Amino acid sequence: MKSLIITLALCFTFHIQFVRAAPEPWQKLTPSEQQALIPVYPLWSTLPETQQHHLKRLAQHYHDLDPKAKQRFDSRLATWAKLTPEQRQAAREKYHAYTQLPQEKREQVKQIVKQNQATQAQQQPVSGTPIAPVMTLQAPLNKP
Amino acid sequence: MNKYAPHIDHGRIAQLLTKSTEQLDDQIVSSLHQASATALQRQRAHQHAFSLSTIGHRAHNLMPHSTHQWVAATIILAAILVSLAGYWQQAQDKHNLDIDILTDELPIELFVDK
Repeated sequence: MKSLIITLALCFTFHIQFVRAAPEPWQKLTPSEQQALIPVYPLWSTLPETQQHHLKRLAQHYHDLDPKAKQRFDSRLATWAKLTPEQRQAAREKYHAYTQLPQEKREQVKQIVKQNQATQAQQQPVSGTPIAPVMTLQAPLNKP
Repeated sequence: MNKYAPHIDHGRIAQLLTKSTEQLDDQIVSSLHQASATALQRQRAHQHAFSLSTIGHRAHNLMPHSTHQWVAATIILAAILVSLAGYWQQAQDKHNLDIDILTDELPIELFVDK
């Protein structure tokens, strides 16, 4: 019985070890992964192995995205990769809370964001600098 | 039998046996040699079979024997499978959320604390 438990525990440990990704040089990525992850190419060698693995999994979805979504993905990936794990987790929690809002509330948020972006674009029409964040959602979002 | 054991001189017995064999016919000696060789061959074959059966025996030891052991092993296996499924599901949810954040209409800055 003891042997069985030890065997199972070893299998579990090896499985977890197998699941954990090994660090991977950029050259070893497939052309399709390289295409999806090109925004993080300058950072790639500095990223922890778990994050590399995570980004590679995100890249698997890239080719299923529509052109607009691809454009957003490309423009946001580097910013996303530079965040700390805590910041990314906090962002996931906020986004999850946002998705739990009723449809009309989400539309309201979108309208406010669009208005703010338009206002800011009018204020800086020729600068060419990227538009700064116009507002930040404060948790918890699910309050009425 | 043990109480006679100290009186037995193994060396003496061996000497007697050697002397006796010297008096045996060549045919008997050759038969004895043949019997000895056959016995040794059988012993080697038996040892080989033993090593195979040892592996089988160890593998058998890994298997639960009683009902309690089967139940315990099943619970452990189920717990491992459930935790693995939970791990994969959590990872999948995280990936899906990340894809949504990276492709949503709303800017990423809205959700990120700087």
